[in-house]
Amino acid sequence: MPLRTLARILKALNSEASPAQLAGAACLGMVMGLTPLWSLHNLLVLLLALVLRVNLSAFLLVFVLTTGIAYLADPLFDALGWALLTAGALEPMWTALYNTTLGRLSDFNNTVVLGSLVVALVLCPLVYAVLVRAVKRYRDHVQSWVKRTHLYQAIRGSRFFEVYSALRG
Amino acid sequence: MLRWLRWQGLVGFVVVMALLAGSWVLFADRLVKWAVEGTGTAMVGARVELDSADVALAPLRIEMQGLRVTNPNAPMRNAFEAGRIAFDADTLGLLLDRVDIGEVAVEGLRLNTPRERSGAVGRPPSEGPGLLDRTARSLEIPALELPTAEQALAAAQLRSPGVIEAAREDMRRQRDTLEQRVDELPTEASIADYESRLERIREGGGDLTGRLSQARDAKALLDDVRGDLKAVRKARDAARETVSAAEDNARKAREAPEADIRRLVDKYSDPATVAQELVRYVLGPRVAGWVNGGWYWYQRLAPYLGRLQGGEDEPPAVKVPRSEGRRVIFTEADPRPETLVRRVALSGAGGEGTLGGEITDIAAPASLWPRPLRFDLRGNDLPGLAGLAAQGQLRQAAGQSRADVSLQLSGAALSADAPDAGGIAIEDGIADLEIDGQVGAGTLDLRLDGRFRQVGFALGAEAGERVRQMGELLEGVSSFDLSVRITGTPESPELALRSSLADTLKRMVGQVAGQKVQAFRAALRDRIGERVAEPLAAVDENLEALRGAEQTIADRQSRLKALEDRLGRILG
Repeated sequence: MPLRTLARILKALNSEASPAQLAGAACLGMVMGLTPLWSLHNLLVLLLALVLRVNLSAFLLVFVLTTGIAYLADPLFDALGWALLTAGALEPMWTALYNTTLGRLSDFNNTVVLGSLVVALVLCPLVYAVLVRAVKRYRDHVQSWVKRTHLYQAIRGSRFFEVYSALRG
Repeated sequence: MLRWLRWQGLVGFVVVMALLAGSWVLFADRLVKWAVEGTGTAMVGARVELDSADVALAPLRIEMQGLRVTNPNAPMRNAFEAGRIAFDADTLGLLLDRVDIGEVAVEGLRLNTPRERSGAVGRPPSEGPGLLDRTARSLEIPALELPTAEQALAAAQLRSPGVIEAAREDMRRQRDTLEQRVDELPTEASIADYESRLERIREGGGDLTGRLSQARDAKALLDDVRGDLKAVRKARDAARETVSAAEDNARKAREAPEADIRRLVDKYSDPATVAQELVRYVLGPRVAGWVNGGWYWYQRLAPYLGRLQGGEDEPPAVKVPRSEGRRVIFTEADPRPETLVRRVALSGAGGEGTLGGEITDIAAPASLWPRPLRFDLRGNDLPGLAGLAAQGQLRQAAGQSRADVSLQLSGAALSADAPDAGGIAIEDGIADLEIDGQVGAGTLDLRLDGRFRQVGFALGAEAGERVRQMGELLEGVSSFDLSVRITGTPESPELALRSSLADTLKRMVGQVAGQKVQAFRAALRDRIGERVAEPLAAVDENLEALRGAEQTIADRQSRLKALEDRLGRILG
């Protein structure tokens, strides 16, 4: 399984997708992965992932990875959500939202939903910028160098390369 | 811009949504069935089963067939069965976690039906805490002849050691506090120092300068003495109060053994008391069973209807398990209960009889709905029950919560109580019962009046001579009255039980000879006196120490007062 995951990452990095498509997919996957799956905002995230021309393999990969991280980070999300929802200055806004149908459907008053969504949205611009830059640097400097190394030549004849080649997308 | 869009993705999204919606429609019936069975079983603590459920979507209508709710205290019987349950609900409300149902029709209702398989889940509920568990546990068959003091004390739970120990502990604390206070007061040495200063002042004087100096010193000393006197007066007032409270405590402690002796002598020698104890032994377990059964259902259902609490503050958050977070509740513009069922119409039949009624205004949380939950259930010629009439209401508002219950059962067939191996219990009979009362936040007041007919008693396999003797006497008893009152709090209920059966039993108990009773009383006094001698001595020692501390303060006060008077005379 880790072999397959690593192969997927490399496949996405070496694909035709632009760095922005990969980074955008990672951001959407992160939002969906970090926040509870059955939340209203994830319908919008899924719609964006399917309609925007982002890399779906990267989206799914990041979604799976961040879901695991989310479970470990739940206490943090809960504490952050609680702090935000009980902050006196924000109470009028939450109360107004609580009294709307959309607000109730969004389950924003759940500490983990709000805490994880805020963390995911704050991380989005950072992750996007870092990934765009990282993918570009990888393709400009690392990719061509890797292909020239003896190790890469050795791997080409290995089981890992078979897994890598068998992946679509 | 359009190059960023993938139009086939939109189709994919629609397909995913359609698949989700389709799955829900396909499995909705099964989901409802699982939800009813799962939630119902968790609520009741025994298996809840449903034959089938039908969910119609537009408008949302749910219809369930064959609901069976196991009696948790008798897993081979259903507490009730319903042939059909149907209601309309609001789809958007359900999405918003709000259930608002106008009317639920419950048809084919039947009570107390047999089951083919046991409906028990996990630990039997009878092992859980019941309202009258402690009362039922303390019931034992009383001796019909005077026991020895040792036997009586072995079976008794004396109250006096607890009272004396509490008094001793109180007085030890009071003694520590008072002695600490004495330590903080002007010491004997400092008063002696004042007295020396006074003597020196008196010896002074002479010329004008000397007289002026004498007056200045006298004034300074008077200020010191008055400051100390003020503190000592306060301490003495406090000491008087403490000693008075301690004397009261000590008096109660000294009287406690005599109260125990009186109680035990009455228990074993007064025919009326012995007969009353026998009645409690024979009827107590059955009453405890009824009350515990009702209490079990109340405890199980109350959390879903808004438990009776005295608090006015709503919790700011509803706790849910870890990884699911907590829901913070905000003020709503139009606060409404999350679950509201305005009316449940009940109809059914059992044997050759009929059963019908209604439950109105089921709301959770109940404090958000202006009307209390009310129920009214009536039935005739039901299996094992000639007549049933149950009415009641459960009201919960901020700062005021109370459940009022009124229940009339006529011609209720009594099932056999298994007697202890060496005991006696009701085997069969018919009862007419009236139960009414209130359960509030921290208060309890329930009354049960019953008339029992065609009653038979069963003896345990290892019943001894005196139980057999009692059984023979009870053979002639076929009817009696019962009056029960349960007061106190749910945490500490008090059971008072009276029955005409006591008059019958009183005759067999007879009068124990007065001489024997005197000897029994004297022996009890000796034994209990031995047990409490040491703690009582400690009580007296503490009291003496407190009086001593008060006397010390009084002595210092009088010496300081004398100083103040003498200084006053010097200063004119």
